[in-house]
Amino acid sequence: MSKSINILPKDINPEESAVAEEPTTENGKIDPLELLQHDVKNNPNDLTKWEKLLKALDQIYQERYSSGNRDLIPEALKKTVKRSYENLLSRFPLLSNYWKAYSIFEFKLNGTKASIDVLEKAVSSFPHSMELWTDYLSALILTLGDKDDDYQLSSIRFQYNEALKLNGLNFSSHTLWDKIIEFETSIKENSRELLELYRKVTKIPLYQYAQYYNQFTQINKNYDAEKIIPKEEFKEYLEKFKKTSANDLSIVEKHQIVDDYTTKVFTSTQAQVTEKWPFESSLSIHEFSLEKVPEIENETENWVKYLDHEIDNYKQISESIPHDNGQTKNKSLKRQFEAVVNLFERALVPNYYNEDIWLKYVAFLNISLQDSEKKFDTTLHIYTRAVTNLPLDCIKIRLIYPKFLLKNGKLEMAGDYLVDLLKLFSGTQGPKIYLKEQYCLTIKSILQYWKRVENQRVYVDTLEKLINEHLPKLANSSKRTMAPSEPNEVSLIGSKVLTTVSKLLNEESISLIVVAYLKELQASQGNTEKIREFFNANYNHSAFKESIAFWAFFVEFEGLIHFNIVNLRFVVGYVKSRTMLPKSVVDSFLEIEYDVVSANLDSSYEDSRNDTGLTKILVNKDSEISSSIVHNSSARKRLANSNYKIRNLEAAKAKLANASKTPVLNREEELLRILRTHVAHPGIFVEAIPDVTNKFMNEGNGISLTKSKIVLPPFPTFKNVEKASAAITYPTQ
Amino acid sequence: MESGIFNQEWSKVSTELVQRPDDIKLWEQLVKAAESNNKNGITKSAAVEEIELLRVSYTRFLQKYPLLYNYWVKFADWEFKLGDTKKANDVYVKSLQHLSYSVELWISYLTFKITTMNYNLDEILSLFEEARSKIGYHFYAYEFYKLYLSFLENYQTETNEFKSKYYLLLRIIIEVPLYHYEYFFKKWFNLFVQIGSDDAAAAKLLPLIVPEKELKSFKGTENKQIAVLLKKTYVDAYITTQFKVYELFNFEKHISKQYFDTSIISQQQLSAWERYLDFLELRDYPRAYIISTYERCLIATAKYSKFWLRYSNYFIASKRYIRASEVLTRGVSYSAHFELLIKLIDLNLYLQNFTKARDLVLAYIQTNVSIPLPVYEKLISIERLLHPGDDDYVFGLFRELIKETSNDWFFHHILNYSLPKELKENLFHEFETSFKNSEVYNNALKKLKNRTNSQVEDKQKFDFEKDYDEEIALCL
Repeated sequence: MSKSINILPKDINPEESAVAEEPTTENGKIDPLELLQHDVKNNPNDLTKWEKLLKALDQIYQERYSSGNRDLIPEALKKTVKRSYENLLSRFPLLSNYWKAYSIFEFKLNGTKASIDVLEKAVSSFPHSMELWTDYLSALILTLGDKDDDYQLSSIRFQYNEALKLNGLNFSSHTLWDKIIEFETSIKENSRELLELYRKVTKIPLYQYAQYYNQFTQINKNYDAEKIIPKEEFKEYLEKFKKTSANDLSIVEKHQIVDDYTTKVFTSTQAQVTEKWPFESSLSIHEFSLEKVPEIENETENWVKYLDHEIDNYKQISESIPHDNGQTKNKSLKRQFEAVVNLFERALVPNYYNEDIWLKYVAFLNISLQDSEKKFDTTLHIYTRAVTNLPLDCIKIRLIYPKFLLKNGKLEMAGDYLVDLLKLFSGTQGPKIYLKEQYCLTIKSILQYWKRVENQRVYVDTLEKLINEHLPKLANSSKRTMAPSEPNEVSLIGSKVLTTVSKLLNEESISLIVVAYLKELQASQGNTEKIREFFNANYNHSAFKESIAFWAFFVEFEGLIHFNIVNLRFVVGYVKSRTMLPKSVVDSFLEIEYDVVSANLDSSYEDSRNDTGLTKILVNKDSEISSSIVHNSSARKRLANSNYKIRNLEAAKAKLANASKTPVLNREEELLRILRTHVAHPGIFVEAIPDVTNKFMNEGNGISLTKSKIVLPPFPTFKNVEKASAAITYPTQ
Repeated sequence: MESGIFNQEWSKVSTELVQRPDDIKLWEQLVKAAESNNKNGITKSAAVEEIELLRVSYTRFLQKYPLLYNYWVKFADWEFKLGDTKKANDVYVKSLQHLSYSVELWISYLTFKITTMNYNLDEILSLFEEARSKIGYHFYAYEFYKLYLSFLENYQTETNEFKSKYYLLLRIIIEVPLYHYEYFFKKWFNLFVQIGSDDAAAAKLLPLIVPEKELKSFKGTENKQIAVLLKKTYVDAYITTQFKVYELFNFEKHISKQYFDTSIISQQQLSAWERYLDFLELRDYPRAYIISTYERCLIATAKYSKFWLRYSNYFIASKRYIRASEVLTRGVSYSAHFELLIKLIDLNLYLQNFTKARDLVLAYIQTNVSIPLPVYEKLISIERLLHPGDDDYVFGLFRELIKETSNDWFFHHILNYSLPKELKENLFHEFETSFKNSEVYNNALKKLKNRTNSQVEDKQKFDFEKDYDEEIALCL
């Protein structure tokens, strides 16, 4: 098991608390720089705050050190600049402008080498930035002293090939290509390298495709036709000219062939550009931005359409492979694969935080035709990037990832990852944020994982162990369900894992584990009594007060599997008055009770020979699901039982009365009383309502005027009249 | 009808009505055509057939729309004009079967009774009292009380105690939160002015408004002083009534439509009634007051099942099942909503009136063309009850209903029944060919298998590859 959480965003230090403390004051003065740093720490997503800090640093440099010697610049300033930029850029590595600014600042502080180092870091953190690569290559070229320094030359060539591999297919990568072509031209005219560049670039659908065609037509006659044209095609040309070897061709013929070939390439590239143009022209934002989020979101749909189009192209090519000539198709399949991958990478720059595109990316890789080892590596790489960089609430990709690992036989890795994920969401580590939904989904995934990698005995055993630790009652009331697992049985769920998970459990997750356990019991025959025993021992445990899954299990178990109406009524009755489940869930349980009772009237009557309670649901279902607190007596109970005001009052009264057993308060009555006081003006509590105490309206007080002898009624008596015009106490704000 | 030959307009409209019986405009035209009688109008001297045509038109119209109080009044007026007081009275009596909580109708009726008075003061007084028991708490009962007071005032004699009843009624009215409460308080407080300023009047009035016990204690006190005392007591009554009127008006002001018509009622109106009833019930207004408000509400909202249901639940909550059953029966006849029928059936089942419940279902199925599923569900439920232990019978019923309706819902519904799982599976199997593409059918089958099969998902067969591939494919 890994020691530290390896799935956190890089800049979140697990040891640090989430919010930084106020900067300490010395002599009552706060260093403005420190204040800015503090600001940034507390608002790491607010670029304006970063901007202020970086500007302040630049100002210090400008005012104090810009004219002097670099050696006079204090190390502390250098360090602060470095740390500030590194912090910002580790959180947002795609902010290319800040990388550039960082590099310039480093140049001012530490000179050329340092600034190139920053650019090198920039392209490795943000490898799909053409801009940064162009800057980096420019800087490298500038430092090239001697054209014949083979070592330096080959290292530049290595870097620019890297740049082209990552970004050369980008529709608007002409600045990068231009830079490289310019560089090679300056080294040597008509070189092999130059030819290689042109052969590549003319085949790529680029915005500036025509420019490269034109350039190439000007220099292509300087090269041997055989060098320009691939073997297969060159052979075809020879056949056309009825020649056996290149030496038999005349110069005119050779030129003719080169022209023809170049035009053919041009036509095909042009066709591709035309095909892509509608998509490319619908995309205006290509950079990562924290400010233009709505604009980016507007364009996401266009990116997705473009991706779908390119993926369809890929699928078409791959489908046609087995029927056709393997070689060329494979080549074009590979090219299309690269095009799709490149497009994904481009799409992910502005849509970096869009989980769906990441998912689409791995889904595409999954259907791609690569050999399996390579496929695993590339996909793993994308998953790793996604789970370490996406915001914490992106749960889908985080939970599909372990399934990917399982598919590839990495059982242990998947298990460790899930436990780490549970730690992350449990709020005990890392950013210390408890994310309930993500946490529960992770527990579910862990259970699913255990169920799948272990045999049933070990699985149930594990669940039982966890439950025993958290619901001690189970241990007293039950014997072991299954034969104990063999001590030497190899289990992926080590005791360490179990302890870790156990520590991370809370009431929400223990309910999920209980339900998983009960489902296992139910799946093996003869456990009905055991399940009921479990229920009797644990149903009023506070963990289940909010657990939909727990109660849904028992409603289904008693109602729809055993058709035990007495038990069903008890379960639903408890849910509706004592739990804190959402109303919609309680309503659906009541509907089930109604349906089951309706469908089994004979046994309902039989079981309630003297008591009509069991069939009561027939007539009071409407009231029970009504939203009116007056009509819905069980909702009233439920609310009264969980109302804190009533609880507090009860506690206070109990203290006064010093009576432990007798209820000091009718909770429902109290709830109604509270509601009554503000029903006329919600939110404004009017405690005293004036009334005639002996009013005619009261039952029994009515007088009929048809009587022949009239006895005059007494004078009216009153209550609370003096309070009718009392000042209203408005809720304090 | 022979006279139809003479009244062409009437014939034309009545033929159209056969096509469109739910068009209230046509009904109104029909009545108009009968009244116009080929522009000759109807008088006492009109032909018997022509008068009969008018009667038939009104009768049929009101049979269809019994909550249109103004047409009842018009009808009664016609009978009165045509010289038949007895028939006019009959029309009113009949109308009150439907609209006994309508202030307007009572006022017309009582006015009619006073106009046609014939040594029957006691009968009329009883009618006034009956009216008061129904509409006495109506927020807009002002006209009624005014009429009542003037009746008592105008027809008082030395012997009939109407005088003391007049003051007693006034005393009763001032406790009722009415929109026009000021009017009656003014009358009441005027009495104290008279008592304080006029000894002769005081001697007459005091025994009529002060109960005997207090009257004795007032002995020896100056009239002026007595007037002050009385005023003090009743100012409190004024404050209390005013407080209630203000509170109620907050709800009343949102209710614009208080009468029945066939138009659609806005959601705002419906929820305004709902809030009003919530308020009254929560505040523990007396039962009679709440019932009266339900009845007011239901005149306007009779077409909506919601308030009938709520009204019946109000009675069920206090175990007054007979009243609940009456309400639902009325609801079924006015709104024809099957929900109310279901509730009525459930109520009968709860009260173990099994045959009544069965008759209700069968009657509905026999008289209606399209049967909502819940009605079928009730049918099965009752048949199951009446054929205890006869599994074949209930399966036969399911089979028949599935064939007849081709509805897949029954596959879901049968899961609620405690029946042998093999037989359930057989039923599913039987209809496999026709329903295998139905989502409801397949889900129900899956549930049936999950609930009955004790097979655990086989781990050995679990396919990680398929699991991942299927899930991730959805993201592409």
